[in-house]
Amino acid sequence: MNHPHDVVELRIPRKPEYVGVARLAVSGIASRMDFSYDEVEDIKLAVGEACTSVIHETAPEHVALPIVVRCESAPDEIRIDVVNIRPAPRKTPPREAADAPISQLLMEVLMDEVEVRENEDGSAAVRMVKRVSRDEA
Amino acid sequence: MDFVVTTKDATIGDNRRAVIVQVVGEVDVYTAPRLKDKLLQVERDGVHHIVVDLTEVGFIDSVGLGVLIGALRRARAGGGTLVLCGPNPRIRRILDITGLSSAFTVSQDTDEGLKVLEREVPSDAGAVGQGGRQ
Repeated sequence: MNHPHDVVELRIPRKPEYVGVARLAVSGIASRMDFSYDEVEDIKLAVGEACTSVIHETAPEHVALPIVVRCESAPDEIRIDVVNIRPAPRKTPPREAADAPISQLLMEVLMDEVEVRENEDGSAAVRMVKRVSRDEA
Repeated sequence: MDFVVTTKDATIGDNRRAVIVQVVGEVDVYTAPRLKDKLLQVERDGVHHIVVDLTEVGFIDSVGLGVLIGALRRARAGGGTLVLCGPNPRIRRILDITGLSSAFTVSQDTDEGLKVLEREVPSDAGAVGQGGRQ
C-alpha cells in the first residue's frame, strides 16, 4: 500500500483498556507500508506510550474527553499525532510520574522525530514521525 | 489475547521459598496492575526470591516495566531478588534501550532462573532478611 498522504483518525476513550486498540490500529496502518516488522513494533510501542501519557496526565474532570490519534501515511514515512484534548493544561504533576522518563525515552529512541506541541486552546499533541529505513529497500 | 498471571511455588538452596510468576499476554497500562497485584501478593506471603517468566509475553510497555522495577526493588529490600526469564528479542531490545538490562538478570528459562536466584542471593544473605543487595 502506498497511498500518498492518506489520513486515518481514531478517537478512543481515555481509558487504559483502549490503548491497545490504538496500538493495533496504527500498527495495521504501518504494516501496510514499507516498514520492517521491527519498525512496525517500534511504532506500535511509541503510540501506546503517547496514549498512556495522556491518560496519566488526565485530570478527573477531563476523563470523558477522547484521545485523538491521527495517522498520516506518506510514501516514505508515517506521521502520528496523539492529541490530548483538554480545556486547559493541568497545574498539578501527573499521578504516574515515575513511568514518564521511561515512556519519553522509548518514544524518542523508537521514533525518528518526537515533538510536543501545546495549542492555544489548551490541548497538547505529541507528533511522532517514523521514516521507512533505507536499509530495507 | 487474554492476560493471565499465575504463580508456582519453588524452592532453592537451603529450602528457601521461591516463586515463579508466569505471565501470558501483553503487559501494558491496562494489564500491568494485575501483574503488580500478583507480585505484591507474593511479597505479602513473605517470598522475595522471584522468577518472572516472560516466555509468553509478546509486548510490554513502560507501565509494565515500572511494575517489574518496583518488584525488583522490593525483592532486594526483602533480601532476595527478581529474575526475568525468556523475554523475546523485542522485549530484550526494550530492556537494552531503557538500560534495564543492566538492572535485571535475564535467564533463558525458569530452571536457569531458579539457579540464578541461588547464585545471586546466597543463603546467608537471604537469612539477613533486609538490606538486600546493592
